[in-house]
Amino acid sequence: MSLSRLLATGLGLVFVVAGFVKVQDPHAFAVAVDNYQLVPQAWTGAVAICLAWLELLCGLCLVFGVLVRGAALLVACMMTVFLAALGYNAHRGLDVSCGCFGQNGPVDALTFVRDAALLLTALLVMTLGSEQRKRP
Amino acid sequence: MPGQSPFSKYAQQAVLIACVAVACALAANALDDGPSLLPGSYQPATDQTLGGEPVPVITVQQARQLLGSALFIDARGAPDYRDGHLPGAASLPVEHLEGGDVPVVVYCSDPACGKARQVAQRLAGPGLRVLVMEQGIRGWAAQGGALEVAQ
Repeated sequence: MSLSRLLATGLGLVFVVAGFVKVQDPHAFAVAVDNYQLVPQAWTGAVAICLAWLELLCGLCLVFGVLVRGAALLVACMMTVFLAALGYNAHRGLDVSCGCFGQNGPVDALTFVRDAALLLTALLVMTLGSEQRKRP
Repeated sequence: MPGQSPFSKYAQQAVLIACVAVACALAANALDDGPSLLPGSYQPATDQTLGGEPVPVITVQQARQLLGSALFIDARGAPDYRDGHLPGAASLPVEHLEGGDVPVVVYCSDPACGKARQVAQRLAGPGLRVLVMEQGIRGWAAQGGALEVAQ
């Protein structure tokens, strides 16, 4: 199995699990979204359920090798947004429960490292094995 | 498509997946028995209500006036509590609630004193396991327990 396939499968499994947990209980995840205080309250429910399905579908695409680069691009975008949200809230001193894997847990340095690693993996999946030498 | 950059191909794939995801989300929301998550009907209920009523909130000024008469409880984790907490505040980290009922110990001076029982009766509620230390502070001190004096 190529490195690219290995990374895609691993990344995919993480998102299948994370997405599945949220799809099971979108209301609980909506509370987590609300805690970040970045989305207008009326929209937290919609954002929560869409994010949940987006994570699950990207995970499935990555695991089954379907539309892989598109899924990796979406994952990279999501991780960038999540990291920015975590960073901004850390900056403004907001003590948020993570909501990353469904249950509430504290956000610490490890969360940042983990999310950065996921972002990096997504970028690698997007670019490894590409025919192009130069990226746009 | 000829001449298409790989990045725009990835972007098209991404848009396709995103559209399917939104469709699934809308379907799941419609099929779900519970209240809708869409704006217009959605209200984040869990953290905001206390028995269906909005949780009463007070300002820092109002809280300051209650120092000495109210019981202050710090809901953050133990490390944050150790770093600094409001004078006299007790620690009750939210994480403790997940493990089931939280024990709350009430005491007064000795077994003859009824005050602890009175307070315990008022406090009893879901998620709190209220216990009375019957021997009171006298029994605690008699058995070598440490005491804390107000600064």
